[in-house]
Amino acid sequence: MSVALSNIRRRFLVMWAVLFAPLVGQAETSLNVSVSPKRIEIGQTVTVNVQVAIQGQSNNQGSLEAPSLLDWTVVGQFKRTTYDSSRQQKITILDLQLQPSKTGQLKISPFSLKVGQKRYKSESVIVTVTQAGGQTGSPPSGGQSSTTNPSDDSAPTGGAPDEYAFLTWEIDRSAVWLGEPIQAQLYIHYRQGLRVSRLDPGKIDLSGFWNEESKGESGRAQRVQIGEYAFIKDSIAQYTLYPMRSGQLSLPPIEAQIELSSGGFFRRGRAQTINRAAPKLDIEVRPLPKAGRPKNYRGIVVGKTRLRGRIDRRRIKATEGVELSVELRMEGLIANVPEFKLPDSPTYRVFPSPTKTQSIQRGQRKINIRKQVWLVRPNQAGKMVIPSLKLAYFDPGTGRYKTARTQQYTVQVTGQSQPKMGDGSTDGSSRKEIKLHSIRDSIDLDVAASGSRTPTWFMSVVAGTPAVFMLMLLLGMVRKHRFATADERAAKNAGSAAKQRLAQISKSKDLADGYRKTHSIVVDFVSQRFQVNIKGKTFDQITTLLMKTGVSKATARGLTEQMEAIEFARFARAGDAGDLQQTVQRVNELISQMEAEGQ
Amino acid sequence: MKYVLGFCLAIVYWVGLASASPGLERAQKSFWSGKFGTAAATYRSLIETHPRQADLWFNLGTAEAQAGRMGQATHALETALWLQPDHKDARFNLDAVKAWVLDKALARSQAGTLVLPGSDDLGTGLLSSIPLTPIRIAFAVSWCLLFSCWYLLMSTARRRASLSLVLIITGLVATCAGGLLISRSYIIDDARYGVLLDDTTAYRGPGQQYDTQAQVSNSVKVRLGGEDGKWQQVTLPNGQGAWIRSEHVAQIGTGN
Repeated sequence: MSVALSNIRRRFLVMWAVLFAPLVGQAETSLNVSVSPKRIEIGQTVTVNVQVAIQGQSNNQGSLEAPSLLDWTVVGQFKRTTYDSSRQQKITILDLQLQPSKTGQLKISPFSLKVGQKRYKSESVIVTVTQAGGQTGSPPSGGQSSTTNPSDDSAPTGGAPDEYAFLTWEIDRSAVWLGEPIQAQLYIHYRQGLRVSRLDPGKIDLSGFWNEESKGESGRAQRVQIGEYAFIKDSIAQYTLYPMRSGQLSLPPIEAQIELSSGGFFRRGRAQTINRAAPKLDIEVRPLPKAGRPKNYRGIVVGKTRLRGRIDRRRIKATEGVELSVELRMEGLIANVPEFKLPDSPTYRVFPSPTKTQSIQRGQRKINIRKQVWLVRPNQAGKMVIPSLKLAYFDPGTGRYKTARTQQYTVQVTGQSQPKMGDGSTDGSSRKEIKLHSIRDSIDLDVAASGSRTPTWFMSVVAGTPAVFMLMLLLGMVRKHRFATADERAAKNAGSAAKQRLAQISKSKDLADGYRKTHSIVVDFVSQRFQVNIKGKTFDQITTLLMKTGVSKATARGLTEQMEAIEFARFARAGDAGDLQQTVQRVNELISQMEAEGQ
Repeated sequence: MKYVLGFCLAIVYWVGLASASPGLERAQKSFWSGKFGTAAATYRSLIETHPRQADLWFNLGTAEAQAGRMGQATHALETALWLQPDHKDARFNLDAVKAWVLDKALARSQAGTLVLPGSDDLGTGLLSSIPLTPIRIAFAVSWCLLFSCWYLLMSTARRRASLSLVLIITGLVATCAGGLLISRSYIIDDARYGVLLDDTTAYRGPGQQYDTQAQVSNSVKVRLGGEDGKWQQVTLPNGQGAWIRSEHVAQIGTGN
């Protein structure tokens, strides 16, 4: 098999030589090989750094040849190429990670680089490989860690208890407190290249422990070097063990039938069944101390514990409820912890919901979680106080008792409480206790509800706003139109307005005032009807202006004469009421004539 | 002549009263004498001829609650509120009935999958989670402002830029609020709802051969979907779809 492996390594390195080919040139070429470290333990690796530097560009094909590495396994490789433009130098670096397959003084023979006709060679390097310190390949154990060590047995194969396969127990601590969790794993080691086709460990007796098997959490198989041989270490079973009595307990010796075969999947080799046993493993269990034990300590509650409470609201109505959830997280056995119960109170009623329990794995630790949820409903308005919940436990880390607790919650309850419901066991007995509003005695059966869910105010706003907007626009338009046609309307109505005013004058007894008003009516009429201003104009000018508007000369002349007569009567204070009547009559006639003649 | 007319009107009124009230009086008499089941049956027969009378539904719900049929009571009271949303007595009695059912269910069963009546019966996503009144107020205010700004913009020559900006903003607000209202009316208000009349089992499909989805308490308000034979597809208050035998569900707004 080792011959086959060396062939594979050789092929790998020849492949590297091909990959290197375009990178190697002929100008001032150098080849340097360094190895670090030069002293390792079996199972560790060395890094071989191969550096090829070439001056300038070269199109020549070259090749790097690696030595035969029969005592080594290539476990990693890395290549990078840089170009130094200032020195016109191309540098290619190859890092190989090699793992020794045996102990002793192992030699890495020179690497060879051939460029054109020239050949460069590196120096050979000696690496000293010693036996591993721990020899099992497991990580160095801490203070409490205790790992079974196959090399502790008489080692016929240089450290491993068996050449082909063996079983071992591994635990994370060998001295614990009563109830303190222990992580235990049963492993099989079998030689690399072999395959376990069947394994039957039988029933494992773990009396003295409460055990919980962790399925599917055993992790990946790993390769370990024990003595001269490389083994595959694979987990068979993983347990979280809680010792239930103090004193000396032990994990039992396991004897299992193992069927081993060689070859790969398509090349099934010979199968052989062997019997192998895992040695028993002792665990020292200390009793819990009596000193400092709290009075409310119940059961075997051991392990790091955390209690966390939460309520969903701090302020509620009297008809509502708050949800109180309490989460207990502990590394110890949660089955030993009784479920929490909220104490009775006249201020609230408690409705529990199902308790949920689950476990999660945090690295090597298994954490048990229990979540309890209550619906707490107030009986009255005011402050509702939900008391703190406590749990006494033993902390194995410090060796002392401690208490985990939730905080006390105060909830503000507002409003009136719910109509008190009956709590009877049957519908018949409890229904009388429902306080309901009474039925309607008078119902108008002809009135049907619309079923409309849109409030009236909303519909009023939605429909009313555009309506008001349109109305305002309409009013604006009307106002604008009236303003634009004011003069026209005034001209149109000038005659009738003047005649109305004249009718008022005929009743007047003050003659002077009557003549003044008559004069004013004539002036206003002419101004409005013909849009001309006759104030301050002579009678001839007035006659001319009126004639321009279409009034006949006779009428215009008559008007100016009448105006003259009015002026005379007004200032001379002559005549009587009959004269004023005649004047008004005459003005009326003139206005009618001008209405008929004017434009 | 006027005496004859008055007499005729009195006759018509008396005939109308006589034709409508005997059932009502009988129902009320049964109710006050403690025969709630009889009263409920009488109210139900009256509802057949007057299905849109909210007070009749309210009386029916109250009688059913007193008779201990909480699912029927919830359905009747929900229908009364559907017809007349501001019916305060119906709202009070519905809350009382739901609280009673909740208390009984919680005291009776601790099953984790029991679906109980609650205030979140209409939980159908984002649109239902936004309260309706603020949207209406926002729309009404922005609607008024929009037309006011528009009118001012048309009638004045000053500060036209500021007015235009306000007009755009209020227009956008009105569009958003109006869009939400329209969406709600299409998505939620058009949905059909029903009430479970009895405690029942909800399945994942239309038949008992399917897995059980949840145990559902009576009086739970559900959104109705399609039908498959004797099975009704519903959406439970927690948003899960389920199938329930049609005989256990009564649609709100109908007599069955």
